[in-house]
Amino acid sequence: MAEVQLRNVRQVFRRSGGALVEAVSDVSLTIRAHEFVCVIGPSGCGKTTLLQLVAGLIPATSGQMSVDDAAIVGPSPERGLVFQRDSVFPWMRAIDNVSYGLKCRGVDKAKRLEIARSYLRRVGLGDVETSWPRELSGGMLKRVAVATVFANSPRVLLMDEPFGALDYVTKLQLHQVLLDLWGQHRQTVLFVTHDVDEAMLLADRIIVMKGGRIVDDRSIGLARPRTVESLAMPEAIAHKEVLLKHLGLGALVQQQAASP
Amino acid sequence: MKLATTHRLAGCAVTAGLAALWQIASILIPYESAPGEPMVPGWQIVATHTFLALSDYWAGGFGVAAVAQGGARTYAGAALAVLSNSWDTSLRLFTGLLLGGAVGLTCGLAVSWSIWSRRFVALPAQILRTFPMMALIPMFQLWFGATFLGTTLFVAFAVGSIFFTGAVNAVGNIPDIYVDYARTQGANRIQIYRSVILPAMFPELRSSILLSLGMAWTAVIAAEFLGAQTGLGQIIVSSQYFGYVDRMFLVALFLLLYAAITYALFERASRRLTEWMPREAATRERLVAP
Repeated sequence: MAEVQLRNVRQVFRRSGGALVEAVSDVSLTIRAHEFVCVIGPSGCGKTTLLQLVAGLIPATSGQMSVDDAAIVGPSPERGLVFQRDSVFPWMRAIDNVSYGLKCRGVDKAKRLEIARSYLRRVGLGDVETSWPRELSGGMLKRVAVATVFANSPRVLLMDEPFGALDYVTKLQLHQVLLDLWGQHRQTVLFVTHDVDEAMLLADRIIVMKGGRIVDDRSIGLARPRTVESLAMPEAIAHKEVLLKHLGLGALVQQQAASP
Repeated sequence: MKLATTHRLAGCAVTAGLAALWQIASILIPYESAPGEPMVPGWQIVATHTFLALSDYWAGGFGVAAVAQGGARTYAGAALAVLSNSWDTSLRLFTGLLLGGAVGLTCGLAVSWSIWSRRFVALPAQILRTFPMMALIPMFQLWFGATFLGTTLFVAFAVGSIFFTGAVNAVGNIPDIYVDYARTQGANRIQIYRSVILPAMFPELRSSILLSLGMAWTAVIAAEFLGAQTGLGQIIVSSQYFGYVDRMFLVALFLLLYAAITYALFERASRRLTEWMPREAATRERLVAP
């Protein structure tokens, strides 16, 4: 069980000029245990701020946030986060990165290395465990980050546009890696992306944010496993049209519909 | 030919050229600082007469009598004099370096530890580091006398100021994402300092450490100028009284050698500690190093 609840959460920042900006406005949301939820929205809509709030990296200006009724008061290994930018420690070898969280929690060396090796194998990096991050590609670094967060056995998995900077093929490979691992552990997932297709491939439910508010919340009933072809199904197209309209791409949808 | 070999050969050629220039200057400049004491001593004097004269600074022992007690000038006495005075200077230098490095680094880290530690440490440390260092030597002499403690504390002060500034800047430039990443994995503050802050700050702190190595040699010699009974700085000062430029020059060469060895050892150690850095960044770091 790991149900994430947000009640009337607000987050206000003060810009360097002194102006106040409400990045998250009165957001109430329940993410059920084991649910895979994607948050999409245009740049600056507050989706990354929302994720950082749930991660406990920033305190909310007002409102309540909890996981299984326990208030979120700061970061916790129970809420693992994969960042948008490369966050893998460059001064640690791949295996030390993956076992870092376990080391922090006092797991003995033999056990944590065994766990780390197992996750490196599962993300397809079994042969680079002693490599420095500088020797790995962007896609491999993301695999290390995914292995790291899963090795720490979080109950909630938070992902902030983790694959945004990757090429199409690598992104699809990593979706599969992520879904395989999630299929085994079934953590509650909150995944931020700006890519509608990515959200449709991954999510049980898609939340759309605009101007710091939730403007749409829809369940995606497409059968799993999903493929790129699944996105061409009528149900998927219907969802996609609505989502693209939310992102201000309504004209594009109409154009596509009009084309023979 | 490999680039490193070319660099090394070029360095050797420049050094040999400088030595030749010195020799030419010793021929062209006939002045004397005192009767029989050339202002620019040639290598034939430095390698024989001057080196032998350093046995004047051997206090006696190991079967070699002190010149002051009637013993003859010998190469063994000269070598022992160089070794014992170098040992005294090095001990002061490295003790001061360790002490200053530890205090400067701790204060630098304390600035980022919490708001209260920043309030207590930042302003006093910033004020202390702006004191003109050389003007403090007489004060250190009066407070602690011409003792090991006085010299060491002076070196520590000089080094600590550089370490403090370097540590504050290095910590300030660590990307927040690494600290956030560690926090989400369950690292506590001590673990973050040990496994994130220290390794992440090292590449930037490296230039401050190199700077402080140079400063430490300057500080220890400057401190020995005033009243020390042993040490390479003391040999330079006592040589100055009698116009022994050749002895001053030879001791300066020893100092140059020791400083070069210190840099080389640190370079080797730091290369190991920055093994993880991208190659271009590591090369750039080395190219800008003094």
